[in-house]
Amino acid sequence: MNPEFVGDQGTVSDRDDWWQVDRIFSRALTLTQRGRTAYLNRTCGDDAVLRRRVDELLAEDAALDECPGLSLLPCSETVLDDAAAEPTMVGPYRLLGLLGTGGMGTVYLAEQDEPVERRVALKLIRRGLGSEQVLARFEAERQAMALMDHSNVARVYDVGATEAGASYFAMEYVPGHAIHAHCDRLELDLRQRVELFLQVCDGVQHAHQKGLIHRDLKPSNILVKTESRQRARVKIIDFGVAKSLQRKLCAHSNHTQVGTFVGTPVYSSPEQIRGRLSADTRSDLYSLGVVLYELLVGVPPHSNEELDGKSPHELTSILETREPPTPHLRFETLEDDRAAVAQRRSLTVDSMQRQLRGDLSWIVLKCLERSPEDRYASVSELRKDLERWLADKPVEARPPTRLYRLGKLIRRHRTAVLLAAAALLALWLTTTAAVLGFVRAEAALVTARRAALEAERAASFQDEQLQAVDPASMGALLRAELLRTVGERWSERFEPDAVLARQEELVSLLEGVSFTDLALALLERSFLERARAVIEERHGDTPQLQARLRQSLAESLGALGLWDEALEMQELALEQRRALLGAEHPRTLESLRGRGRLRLGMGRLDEAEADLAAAVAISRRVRGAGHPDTARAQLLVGELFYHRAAYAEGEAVTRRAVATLREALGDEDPATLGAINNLAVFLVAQRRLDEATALHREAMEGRRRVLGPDHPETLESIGNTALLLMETGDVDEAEEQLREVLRTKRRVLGTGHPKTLRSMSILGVFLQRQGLPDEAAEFLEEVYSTRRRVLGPEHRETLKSAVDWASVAEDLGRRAEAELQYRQVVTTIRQVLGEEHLDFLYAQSDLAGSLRAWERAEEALALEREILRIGRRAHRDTHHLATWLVGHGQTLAALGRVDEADDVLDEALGLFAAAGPIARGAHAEGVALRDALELQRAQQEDGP
Amino acid sequence: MAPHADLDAGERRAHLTQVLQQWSSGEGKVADFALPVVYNELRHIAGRLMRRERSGHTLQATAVVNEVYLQLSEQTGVRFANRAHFVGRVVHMMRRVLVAHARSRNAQRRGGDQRRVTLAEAEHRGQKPADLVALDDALLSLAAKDPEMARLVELRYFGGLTLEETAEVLGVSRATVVLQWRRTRVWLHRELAARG
Repeated sequence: MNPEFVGDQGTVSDRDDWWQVDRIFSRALTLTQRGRTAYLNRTCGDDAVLRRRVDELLAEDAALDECPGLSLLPCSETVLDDAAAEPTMVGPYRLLGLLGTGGMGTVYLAEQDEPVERRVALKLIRRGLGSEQVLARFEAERQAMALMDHSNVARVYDVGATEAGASYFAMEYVPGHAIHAHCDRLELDLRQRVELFLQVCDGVQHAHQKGLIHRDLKPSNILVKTESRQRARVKIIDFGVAKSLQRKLCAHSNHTQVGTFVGTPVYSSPEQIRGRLSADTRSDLYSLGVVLYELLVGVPPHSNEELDGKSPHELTSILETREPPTPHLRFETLEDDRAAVAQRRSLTVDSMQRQLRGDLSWIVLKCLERSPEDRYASVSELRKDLERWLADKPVEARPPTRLYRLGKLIRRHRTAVLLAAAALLALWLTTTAAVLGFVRAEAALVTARRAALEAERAASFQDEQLQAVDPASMGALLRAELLRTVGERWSERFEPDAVLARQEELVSLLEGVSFTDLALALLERSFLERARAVIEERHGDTPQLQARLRQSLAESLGALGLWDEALEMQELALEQRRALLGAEHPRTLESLRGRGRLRLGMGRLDEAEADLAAAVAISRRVRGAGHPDTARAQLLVGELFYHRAAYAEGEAVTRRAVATLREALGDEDPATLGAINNLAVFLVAQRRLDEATALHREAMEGRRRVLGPDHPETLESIGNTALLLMETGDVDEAEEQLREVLRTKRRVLGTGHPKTLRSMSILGVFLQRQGLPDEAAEFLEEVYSTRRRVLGPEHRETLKSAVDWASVAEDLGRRAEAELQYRQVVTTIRQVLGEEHLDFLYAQSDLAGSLRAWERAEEALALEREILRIGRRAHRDTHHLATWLVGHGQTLAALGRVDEADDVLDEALGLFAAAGPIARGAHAEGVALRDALELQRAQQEDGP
Repeated sequence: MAPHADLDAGERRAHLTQVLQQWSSGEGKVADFALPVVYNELRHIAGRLMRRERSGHTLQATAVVNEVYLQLSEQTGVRFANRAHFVGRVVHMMRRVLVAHARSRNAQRRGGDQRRVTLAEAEHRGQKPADLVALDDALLSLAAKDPEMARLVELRYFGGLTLEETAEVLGVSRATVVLQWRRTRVWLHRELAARG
């Protein structure tokens, strides 16, 4: 190889630990911001050097993101943060430590002896940023900067260049936090935040009077120094720095010619991003607006995700076309994070929402006007308005946009809007009831033979009606109707584009309303009772039709999760059909499958098995193995196996059903797609991820095409695909998809729906795996308590969520609670599912693992012996057994019983080898344990 | 000449794959037939690259295309499975052409006394040849650690491919490309830094 570039002294990548650093860095990149810290703490432990290296890489990654365009291109400049090349002296300054790394360079804490003894923050600019030009531009600013003398502006003492050609700034050192962190830490309320912000205004205003523009105002450049308990002083740093560095910052991005964009997109004014040379004091005012916005709401008006990686051109068009959302609307989009944000302001969600709706939002939005002319004329104008707000006086800022006025209007009419919704629903219900009456009247008029035909036709129609009774589509209909009628009313009164804007506003206001819950409540009370009455009373003389309607109603009730009512209706339909048509008639089989499905849903597995096994057997005999009905019954049997964790059996029977349905109905039939989805689920359960990915994608894309993007089954597929992404490491994308699915399900299905709960539980487990037990706990606790209430304490889903909840409690360090929960759930699972059930064995092994972690290895040992005794009998030669053996080995090793641990491990690793690439986590742990044991042995032999 | 102005990107893509497969499977004659299609695709790739490189290039897009095309047609037994494969290969060849050019230009410019182009000069002339050379060196060094990183930079920087296109060429998901790009650019940045 070329000696010119290999073995280059000091290239980080040539260090021995490159692989380790790269591995940790790469893994950290896959984690969400919040999961990252936890991971690094865990992995780097006390190794501060290692931690710093990784942190620097991550900071560099973030820094490269800050330059739009550069995020896609390498920069040929560098941050001088290479430890080997780390200077100890820069000019007359002695470096004491690293303060941070940013887009422009690295900031050190440094000391100066001459001419005065003081500590400074020394910003070392990336080599290659053109030090001559930096110096020249800085000279131009210097005079102005020398004139600046304000307690809210950090002083710039000196600028210079090192012998190596890097330029540096020496600035007043401000020990303190960024303004947002400061406010959050002290949980300042909105008023206190505004008071503090006045100091920011003072500092910026002073600079503006001296003719200096900051150009890069953002929270990290606004520090707060706590001078005493009562007194906090704002210090704005980096004045004049941005301008001096302006032209070369993104020198290798796409957009470098004239007026290079400097700064962070989120905080930059539209004219700044456009690169207009005219950017003036009002551009700083815009940035102040964003800072204030974030200070109040918790997030900036446009999120990083929205703006990241965009070219200036794209950024401009975003800022040109999208109005910043009003603070309270933006706050609403935070959803689950709202409580935390409000808490950091010592407020409740409601009171925060109220305050954000007031005059304060006018003030903020006036700063964020697209065109500089529409903003405040100067920072002191802004300051005055803020003071007026603090004094509860009317503010100067006019309601800035029509959106604002509209929001107010809708709030005034909210009651009217909801009343309109209720009226529409009532109307719809009446129509449907009338149809039921019509069916009866028709049936009574015609002759017996015609009656059968007509009744059948009417019943098909009726069937569709009943099938269509799902709260999701009712809710959606309701919503659409509501928007339409309200829109019509508005269009009589307002201009067309004003109507459009109002409708948009209405849509976002309705975001939090679950029309599905609303529809469900009304359905239960008025419609379903009525339907039952109509069927029972008026269709007594047409038993076949009656049975059919009963069947439909049973399915509707089941789909709504009203199990007991559904089962009652289902029994009636089944009995009636048996009597009328015989046990082998396709209709009877339909009812039999229906009862099996309901029992499955209720967790009554043995009863379900009896129904479904009979349904498959009869179906195969009467209709043939290749008939869709046989496949439908097989799919349910598959689901039964899933509930029993018998994945291989489930896969086999589901695979047969898939083949049948593909053949009989085609690849794009919803039934086929559903079966494909089920099959994929079985493959995931058996860790055959590649096969599963292909099938999940097929099902997802098919469902999206055939059923539409909002359909529950499409959502199910998106969720399942997200789960796979999680397995394959695309965690950010996975989290995004999981949250999206949960949001849509909450809106479409309602909050307590089993499917919503499942999404919630998946998201919870995901967050837990990401090392975020706090967030995970919120979801998992809700899932557990809701399932307990809705499904009962002994349902398998409830028990699963109980285990999840115990495990997250442990992560949160709530040991006593976790242990109690574990012990209870282990006992219950054993009673309900039996001691050979995988759910029981895994739950017990989780408990043993926790005991081991709590240094109660002896107790763990007892539990493990039992697991192995049952496991060797019921799950011989499986990776399950191997997994439990690894746990046992760990316990033995913890007790110092190395030889026994070794034997157990031999057995486990042998089983893993035979089982193929599944249970990778446990397998890896086994291998790690083997290494540890060998090390331990080696140390013993070395010892005395 | 406006190559395939009537075809949208998707059609052009499918068309090229077809032509490439014919080229790969057939005899010499097919190459004649394939020439305009392949040539236009080359121009398309090169044109995008040149826009990125801005005005500094004395080597015109056409010259690069000609050079690569010549090399391509001289190679025997070339088989391209599809457009992605073709693009990957071509980008690599372009890198070699461009770097060779930059190295010789750099050598001339230095004139033996190792004088570096000053920053001011560079600003007027756009891309420094030294940058390309440094980049190429950095890539070789990266490749020694992990060839995938070098390949990624090659496609993104020399090929000017978008994330989606890169994903297609590498046969991985877009998310994987984004992640790998974030990892790679930091190491690349440091490699370049080490070269001053």
